[in-house]
Amino acid sequence: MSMNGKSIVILMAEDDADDRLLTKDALTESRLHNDLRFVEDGVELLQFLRREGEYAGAPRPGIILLDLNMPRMDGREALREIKADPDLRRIPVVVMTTSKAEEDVVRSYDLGASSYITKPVTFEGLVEVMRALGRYWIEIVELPQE
Amino acid sequence: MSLDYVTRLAADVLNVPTALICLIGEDRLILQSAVGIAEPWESTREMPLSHSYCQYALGSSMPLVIDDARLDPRIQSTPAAVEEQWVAYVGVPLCSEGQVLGTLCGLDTEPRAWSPDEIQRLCALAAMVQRDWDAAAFQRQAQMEQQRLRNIVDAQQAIAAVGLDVDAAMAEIAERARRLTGAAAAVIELAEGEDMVYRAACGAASAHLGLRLKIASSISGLSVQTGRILRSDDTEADPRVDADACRRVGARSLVVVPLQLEKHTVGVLKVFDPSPAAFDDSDVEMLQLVAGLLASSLSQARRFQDQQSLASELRVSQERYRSVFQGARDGFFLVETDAAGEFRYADVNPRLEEITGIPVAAFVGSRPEDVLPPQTAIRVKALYARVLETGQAAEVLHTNLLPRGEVTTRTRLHPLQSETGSVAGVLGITEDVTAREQEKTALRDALERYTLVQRATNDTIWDWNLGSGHLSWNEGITTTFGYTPEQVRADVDWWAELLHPDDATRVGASLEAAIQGAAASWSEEYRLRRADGSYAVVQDRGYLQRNEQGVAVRAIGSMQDISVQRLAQTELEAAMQRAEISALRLEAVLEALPVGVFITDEAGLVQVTNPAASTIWGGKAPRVGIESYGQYRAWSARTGEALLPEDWPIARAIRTRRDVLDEELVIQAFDGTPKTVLASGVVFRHPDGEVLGGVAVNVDITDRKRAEQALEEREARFRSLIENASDLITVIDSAGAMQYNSAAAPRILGYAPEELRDRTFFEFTHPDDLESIGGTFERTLRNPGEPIAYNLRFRRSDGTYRWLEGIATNLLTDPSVQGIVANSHDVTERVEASKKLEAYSRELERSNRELQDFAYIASHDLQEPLRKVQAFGDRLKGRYADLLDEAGRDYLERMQGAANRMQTLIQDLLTYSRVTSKAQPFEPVVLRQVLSDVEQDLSRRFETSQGRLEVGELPEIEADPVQMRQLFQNLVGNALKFHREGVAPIVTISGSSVGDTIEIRIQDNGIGFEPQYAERMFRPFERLHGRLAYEGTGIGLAIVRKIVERHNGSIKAEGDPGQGATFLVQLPLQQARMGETT
Repeated sequence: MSMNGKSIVILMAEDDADDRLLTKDALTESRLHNDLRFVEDGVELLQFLRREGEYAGAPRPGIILLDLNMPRMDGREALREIKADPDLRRIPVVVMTTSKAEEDVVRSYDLGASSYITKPVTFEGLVEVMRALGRYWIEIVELPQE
Repeated sequence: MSLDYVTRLAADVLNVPTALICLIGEDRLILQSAVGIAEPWESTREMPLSHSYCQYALGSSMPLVIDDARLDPRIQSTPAAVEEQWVAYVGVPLCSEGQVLGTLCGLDTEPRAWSPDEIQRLCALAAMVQRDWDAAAFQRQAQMEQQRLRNIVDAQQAIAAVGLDVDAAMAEIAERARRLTGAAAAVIELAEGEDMVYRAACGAASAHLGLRLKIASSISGLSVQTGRILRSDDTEADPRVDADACRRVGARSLVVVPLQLEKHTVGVLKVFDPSPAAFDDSDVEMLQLVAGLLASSLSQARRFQDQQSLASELRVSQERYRSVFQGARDGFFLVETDAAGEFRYADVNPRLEEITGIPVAAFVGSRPEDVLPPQTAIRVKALYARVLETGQAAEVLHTNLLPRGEVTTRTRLHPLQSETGSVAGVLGITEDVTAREQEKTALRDALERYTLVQRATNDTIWDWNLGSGHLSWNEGITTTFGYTPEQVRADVDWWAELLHPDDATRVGASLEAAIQGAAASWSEEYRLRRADGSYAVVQDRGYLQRNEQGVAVRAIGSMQDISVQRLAQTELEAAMQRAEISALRLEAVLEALPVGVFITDEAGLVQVTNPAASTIWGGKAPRVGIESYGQYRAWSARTGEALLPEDWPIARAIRTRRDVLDEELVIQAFDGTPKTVLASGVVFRHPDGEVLGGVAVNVDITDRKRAEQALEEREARFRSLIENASDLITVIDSAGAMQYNSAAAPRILGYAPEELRDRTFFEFTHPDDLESIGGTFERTLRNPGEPIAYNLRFRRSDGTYRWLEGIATNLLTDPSVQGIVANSHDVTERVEASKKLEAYSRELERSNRELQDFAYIASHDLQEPLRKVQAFGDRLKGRYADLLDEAGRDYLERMQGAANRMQTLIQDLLTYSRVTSKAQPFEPVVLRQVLSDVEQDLSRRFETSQGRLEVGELPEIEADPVQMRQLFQNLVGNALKFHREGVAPIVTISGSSVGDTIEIRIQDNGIGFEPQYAERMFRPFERLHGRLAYEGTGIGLAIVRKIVERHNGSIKAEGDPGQGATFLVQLPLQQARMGETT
């Protein structure tokens, strides 16, 4: 499902195991077969991106789904780090969080988020979101080549 | 016990006609009780000690018994025996403290042989009396002394009443002295030359008035010479006295007291008596007092006489002046300058009228140009001016055309000098020389007259032969100048020798000029030596006889001694000058003085008043004596009591001879106006100290007083304002020291105002406030007059601090304040309350924050697991529903339903909390627009329910637009939700302004509600209906109320079941800026 015939890697930073499971289910339900990888906080996210430690052989993700509220390093800090890193800043980051707070929305875009999505309440909603994400970021949008 | 009873008893016991209880004084018997005595003793109740036998009882405490006095040679001459025929006597001494004070005695005119029994019984009676006497005796003695003192006072008054008549005073004093001492005679002797002269005499000595005794041989003379008091108890045995002389006047005992007058002994006061030892020490003391009185009377009298003779001398000199002035042969006139500097004739004599033909009356008070021809006036004025300016005498001879005709006059002008040496006027003496000119042609007549005159006058006539130098004199030269005929030399050289050296040149020259010239006569005034060497002032007039060639060959003249006139004239000039000048000066001063002046004579009779006196009293000030001072109505300003005539300061000054100064009086002027004056009275004295008169001065201080009073009232009012003010008023000096604290100080600061005096407020200021108050104080000092706000904590006496807030004004340069006035208000309570409020509001903020945190948690964290329940519920239903049976699927449905409701609850709670946490600022909101939006939002529901919204007039208000929309959406939505089945919902919204608020009615025709729930329905999550009947969590109305409350409004609901519901919302049109919270 790629314009380039290539399947991009989706990296999700999410501390909630339920959400990780639901997201994985929703991705499957939306018939997207992209490689979905998970990290559980901001620290792991940056290690993954920089291929540090156990993530030495990790692939470079085409898109990052980022939760804001995480332990150790939260999404906001991670986002600031990514956008400050010239090597990583080109990777689009979609914020996916339960927060509807206006300041979170504004702040996220200020820090360089590509999109801001409030987690849907129902599973159907989530499937719909995943489908839309896939269609937009994977099918429509031209991402920079690795 | 009655003494009379005792005496009667004694008379009975002794069987005698006479019984006495008597006190024995120094010189007399004082009868305490008596029976059977004759006059005068019955009335006087006393008799001379010498009169009685009691005198013999004095030496012993034993009874004295006399059977027949006629048989005893020692006592047979006692007057008791001789005059009263008391021949028998028995007396028991009455003693006190060992002293014989008196006797109880019986007397009989028949000889008696007193029995021991009789004597003993008398002794018993005497013992009875004596017991009572111990105390009474002294008391009586004291009364006697008092009586004597009264007598002295009487004497002083009597002497004072006699006043200045010396002889009368001396007679009175002598009489008093005699009576006071009980002497037979009293005299006042004054030393005159070598004699002592009886100037006053009374009693037995009255026949000797005028008697002269040699100072050297009399005891009075001795007293005068030594200045000592002399007393002789028996002149027969006293070597100091002339016993014969004493015997002649009947002076067996005597006292002589010297009279001191201005430190000199001028005479004596003497009393004497035919009996020996008639005087004691108290008599001497009394005589000294009387002598003192006499001396002061004499001194007064002498001064009075001096003054009288001065006055008469003055009168004589004045009369002498008048006679000289009026009767002078020459015309006299006095010229003075008036206030405008113009010359005016102050006085002229009748002779001047004769000379000039101008009446005296025309001259007096006129200027020269008013009475003299213009040319003459100009000339004389120039002359007067020169005399005044130079102070030099001048003489002028001129001929004028006067009303009398052409007159040739010679006028001498003398400057009149005042005491200070300045020239105050001009005395002119004008001589008519017209006649003398005419005499040239009438020499013969004159010579004939001359012989007549020679016989008729005392003038000294001389006849000088210019050829031979022979000069003959008539007898005037001897009678007037005192030369004996032998001393007189008949030549002109002798005359020249007699001329005063200072006059010789002048007189010689003028005589020479007359002789050499063509004059017919010559006249000169000069000094000529008398035989005794003194000089007489003479007026010399000579007539020249010439031969055919006009050469003077003979001169005949007369010399008049005018010394007396000249002297009088000089005196007159000086006196007039002095009198006029002092009078003028006084008048000018009085005129100009702004204070009322009253000049009185020595008795207080007002003689002169000045204009200011009349001004103060609102009318002419009456010239009255002290007794009529009541015409001047006045009250003491101090006591408010009416002033008696004799209380006026001037009356007191005259009475006491002391100045009385500045007494404040309230007077009633003659026109009724009340005024306040300062009145003084001073006396003025002759150089010798005698008071000549008084000066009363009234100063009108009404205005000053009124101003003072007004000021005082203002001050009192101001002070009471300050004292009663709840605020603390402090006056601080430039160093910060407190000079004054008002009465609020104890209450606010715990200190009495005087405890804070002179201490700086800095030392009471809280350390944390020192810096800021220091700055404020600096600013106050730099900005005089500008009110500057301050606040500080001030340490009370109990160590606690009070918050003071106030305004300080720098009035250091204001003369009535001279300080910084600080008006402090104790705001401790307010500050503490506001601190408490601050703490509360902080606490409230904190709890609000917690609540918001909670809301956030509720909205976010609680939502999170709920979402999972819903999501996994969906997954379960989506993927495994087929594996569940019917019941399993039902459970799943219920679980999902509950999760959805919880979702709604959390959303509603979030919305509710966001009313405050997500509030927008207030801005103008058009309510109709809001409602139109709401209608739009709810259009679907209106359509389905076929309902409609009716909106009346609504204003623009200040509000949060989002919340307004929510408010109406909830209310309108509510109305739609609770519509009646089968009835189309109609929602009516109307507004009406009430003051600055708007009341909005939202009325529906729905199901209504039980009134008891009207309040409850606004609580969060409160539901009135089952969930199945009406959806919703019950947060809608709670949100509505919360929005209304945030807008500072109120809401209430009215309704009944089936009657529809009405919500009344009151909102302010404008929001208060400060009340807004976010």
